[in-house]
Amino acid sequence: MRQGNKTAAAGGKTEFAGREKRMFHLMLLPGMIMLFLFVFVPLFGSLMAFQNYVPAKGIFGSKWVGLDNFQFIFSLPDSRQVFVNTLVIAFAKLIFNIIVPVSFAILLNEITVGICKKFFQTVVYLPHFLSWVVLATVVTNMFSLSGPFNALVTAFGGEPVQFLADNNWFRQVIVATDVWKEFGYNSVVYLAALTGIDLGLYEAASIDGANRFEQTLHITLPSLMPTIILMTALNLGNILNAGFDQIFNLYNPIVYETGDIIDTYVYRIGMVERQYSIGTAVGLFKSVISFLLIMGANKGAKKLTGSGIF
Amino acid sequence: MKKKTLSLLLAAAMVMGCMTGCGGAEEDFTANMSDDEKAAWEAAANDPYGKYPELVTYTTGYVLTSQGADTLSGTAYEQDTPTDNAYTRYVKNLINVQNENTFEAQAGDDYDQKVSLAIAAQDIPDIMHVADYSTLVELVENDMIADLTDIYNNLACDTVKSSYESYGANNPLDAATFDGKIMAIPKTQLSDGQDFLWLRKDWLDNLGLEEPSTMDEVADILRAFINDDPDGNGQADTVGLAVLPTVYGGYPNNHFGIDNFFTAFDAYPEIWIKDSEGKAVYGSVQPEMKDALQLLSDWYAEGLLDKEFTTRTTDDIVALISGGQCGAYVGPWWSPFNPAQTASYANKDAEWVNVSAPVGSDNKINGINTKPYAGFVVVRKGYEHPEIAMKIVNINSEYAKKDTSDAAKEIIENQTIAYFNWPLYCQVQPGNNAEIMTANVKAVLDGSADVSTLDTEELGYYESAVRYQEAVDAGQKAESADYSQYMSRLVAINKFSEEPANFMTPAYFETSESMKTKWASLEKLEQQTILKIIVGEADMSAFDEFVDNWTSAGGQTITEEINEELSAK
Amino acid sequence: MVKKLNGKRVVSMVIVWAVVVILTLSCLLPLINMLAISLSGSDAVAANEVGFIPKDFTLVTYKKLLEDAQFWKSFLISVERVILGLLINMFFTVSMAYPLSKSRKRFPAREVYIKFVIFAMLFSGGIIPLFMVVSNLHLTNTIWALVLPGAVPVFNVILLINFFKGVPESLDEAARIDGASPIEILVKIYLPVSLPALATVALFSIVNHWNDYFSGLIYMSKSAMYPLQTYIQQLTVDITQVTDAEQLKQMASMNNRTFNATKIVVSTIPLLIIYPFLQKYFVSGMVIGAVKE
Repeated sequence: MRQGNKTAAAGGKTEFAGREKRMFHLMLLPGMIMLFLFVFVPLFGSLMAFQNYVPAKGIFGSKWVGLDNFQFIFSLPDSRQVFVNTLVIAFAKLIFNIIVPVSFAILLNEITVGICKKFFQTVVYLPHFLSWVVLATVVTNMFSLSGPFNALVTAFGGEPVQFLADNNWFRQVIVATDVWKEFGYNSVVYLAALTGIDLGLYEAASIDGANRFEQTLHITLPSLMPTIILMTALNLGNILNAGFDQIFNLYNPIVYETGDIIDTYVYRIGMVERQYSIGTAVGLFKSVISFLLIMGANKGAKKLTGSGIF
Repeated sequence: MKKKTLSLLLAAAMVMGCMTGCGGAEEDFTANMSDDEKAAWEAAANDPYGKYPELVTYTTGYVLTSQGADTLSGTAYEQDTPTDNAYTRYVKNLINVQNENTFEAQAGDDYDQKVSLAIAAQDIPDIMHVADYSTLVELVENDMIADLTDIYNNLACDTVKSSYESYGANNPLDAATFDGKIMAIPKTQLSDGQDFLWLRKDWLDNLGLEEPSTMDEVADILRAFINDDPDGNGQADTVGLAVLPTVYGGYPNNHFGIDNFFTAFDAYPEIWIKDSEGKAVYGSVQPEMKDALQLLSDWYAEGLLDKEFTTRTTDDIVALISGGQCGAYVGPWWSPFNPAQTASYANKDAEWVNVSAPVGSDNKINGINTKPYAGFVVVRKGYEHPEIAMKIVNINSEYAKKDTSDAAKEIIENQTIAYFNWPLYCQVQPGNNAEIMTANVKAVLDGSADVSTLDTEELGYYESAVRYQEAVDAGQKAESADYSQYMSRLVAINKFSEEPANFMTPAYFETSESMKTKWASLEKLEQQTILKIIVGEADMSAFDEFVDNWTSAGGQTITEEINEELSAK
Repeated sequence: MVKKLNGKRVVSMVIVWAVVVILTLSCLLPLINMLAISLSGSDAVAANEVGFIPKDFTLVTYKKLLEDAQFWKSFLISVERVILGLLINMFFTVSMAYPLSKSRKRFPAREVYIKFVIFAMLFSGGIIPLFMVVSNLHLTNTIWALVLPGAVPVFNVILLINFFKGVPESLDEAARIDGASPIEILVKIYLPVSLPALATVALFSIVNHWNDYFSGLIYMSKSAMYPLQTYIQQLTVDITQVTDAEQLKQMASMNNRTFNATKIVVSTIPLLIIYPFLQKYFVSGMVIGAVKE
């Protein structure tokens, strides 16, 4: 009899599973339609990357040039420099844009005075909303010869440095100011994840004699690890966007060597002539790299934690 | 029933007929009118200021300034919109034409982007303003705009025709002419003369210094400014000459650009000049640049140039000057409009003087002529009222300026508020219009002419000058706006006639084929080299290296292309 | 839990507070500077003399703002956009994240869908094709052009997928045995347990819609239809972008920096309200988030 029940139950399960699958497809349908309309259809515009696109001719009237645009980009004298700058700056940002927000989230979590916590949380996420056009003045003033950072330098007996005009310092300033601007906003995800940690674990640990620091190391961090991995992987997809707005508003020709990135360079090409083809080709190239990187990160995450990020 | 079917068929036939007739050729909207009506329309179409019997609407892209609509609040024009403002009402009242805006955007990147999108969508407005030459070329090459030769020849008013001619060999109409056909109405760019060295006169007086003329004299002044506490506050807080991070370019309207310091050595950076054989060459790679760069790098080392100039934005420089920390910069005759001067005038009792320095080998400033055009008005191919474009240009270039009615006064007020512009954004004026107006105003001020000879714009300037003088006589500070008008139009402009400059006309203004892709890297090379030499990070050998790299990385190709284009004209 | 108040603990708490306070202060100061500029006289602002305290105190710009009709019209458009956009985003985020968070066994097709979704996140055809699609659908100049193209926020979807994955399977199983349909499971079990995650993606959606200025610029042809950030962006245009001599002359005689600071301050205020409001959902609920069983 039990056998019969099991079979009946199994049969019911399969039916349920089938119904469930249909339900899932249905739930995905509206979203896929939107994606189709607004992402996949416009993708035909990527064809511009293989043409000498002239707006007046439209896509079907412009001349096809195959891979010429890509060849052109790679053969530019500065393409290597620009590519390296982009990678270096983006990687540095990636690393610190994880470390600082995570650390801040953990520290903030220690603060139990509710009102204070809310206040701090809200204030630090605000710089994310100030545009770089506005922040550029603040940053330039902070790092000018007569600004506070140089005041510190001279107080310690050093020579003042024009940070934003110095190839030895430009990248550091860019990374540091970006991390400062974004850490509050970036910490939101981690603060949310922290709420999901079972408080009982901490109790058990403190009974075992672990101090707060050890608890952080052995409970908090491992619990946050999946979120950290997820955010890292997703941001890897952004790796070739080293921050156009920021760099555009803060750079000058002296620091092109270390600060000129793919996007600022392409922007200047576009200034002479609206070079849609080049811009599209670069965009396509960046997307392909990002795609490969995210797929790679997914495989890496699978190996590290046993499950991928998606 | 039969009647209905018949009329339906007729209607369909008419529509079909219309459709086949539509397309390239101009539609004949007068087909169904009586002879009288036709005559009225034709009369209107053929008169430079003719009024249409019925309201004609046209589509356009409206150009706004970056002032922000907030500048309208509190004025009588609060409720105005880009479809209904002082300018559009004026045009409507005069010739019965109304604009509908396919898009509205601020002049600059925003507007240009919308134009690009409209072109890409193959849906350009009936008449529109186009800001750059390359877009015009694109429209011509793709047969999207109408031939305006007849319209121009028959309907352009005298002011427009004589304005173009005032440019002599540098006639803006040439740029709009393709294969002998005039394809657009160019907007003139005022040739704003030469740049001057603007100095704090009160500082010169405090230190007992004379106005400089040669390069060495300028150096002495700058030295005194940074070392001898010119503002007398006991602090060493003054910097040297203000300089833009891009150093030069955009002559003469680029505030703080120090082109004059190069041209004094006969070096013409960023300009295509003719060499001794009449061939076009690029100014930034000529040997004369070395002398200029050597001087500037010495000056930088000594602190005569603002030490932090590479990281300053225009706002920063304005702050330096208006805060009284800088008393020397290079700027055009209309510098007094810049907040740097108005703020320092209002707060620091600053007195400014424009000096013709540094001079070249013949004791004159070497100036550079600008592009004679600043945009074009084009008409979509197939539009049935192309003459509207010319009429509107006529109105804002000639008619409105002579009009003394209330409506015209509204225009003047709006020009000060400066949020809206004339539809089509195309005023045509003679190149030296500023000087002409000044001469007229002066004549009235010194009594040799009567106030009634002034047109509405000049009248505004005259009244400004009078208010300024009254304030000075009463020992008070004048309004910033009056200060600006007076200092620029009645004082600074004088030097144009008192201390005339030499003018070099560039051989080539636009972009050649290879420039589209190669120029960004060449420009980068140039900017990096120039800056590094000036701040001392590289020595003069870097310049020779730059010239070699520039030539081989595309400079040679581009030079050849440009010379080909020029010899083909 | 009794906290042992020993010396070590006090020291570490002091350090924690110190670091947090310093970081917070560093974020607060530029905003105070903006506020000060908005309340200062324009000449002092031009001379860069304003630090954290207003100089030549004046409320003139705030008054002017309250009188600027277009500012309020754009403000309302932005509010409408945020509300509509949030609802649309949440609908698509949840409806897509839920099926995609199921294991390969239960929903094999997810492997295919997810690749499409990632692809959509990374690849774009550019401004012109998107503009053409939007204008061919006749969405330009309507609020829909602002909320439909970004209807599926892929980043948020992936985030939510991972949060959903963390919900224990046991809850799911139990509900299924009770005969609940997938939608009922979603609504009655997953959603209540994922409040912090939902609050997070809601925040991202709100902030994204509030801040975006570019869509308004290309899809709206009349400035009267601009959302707030597009309108504001026009006001802080860099003077070096202008090449027309006439225009430069006009602009040079006006100094709008104070007014611009005011607009920035005012448009940041809603952000100050939204986050604290959503923070109350960041509470320790059931076991959720990235903790896996």
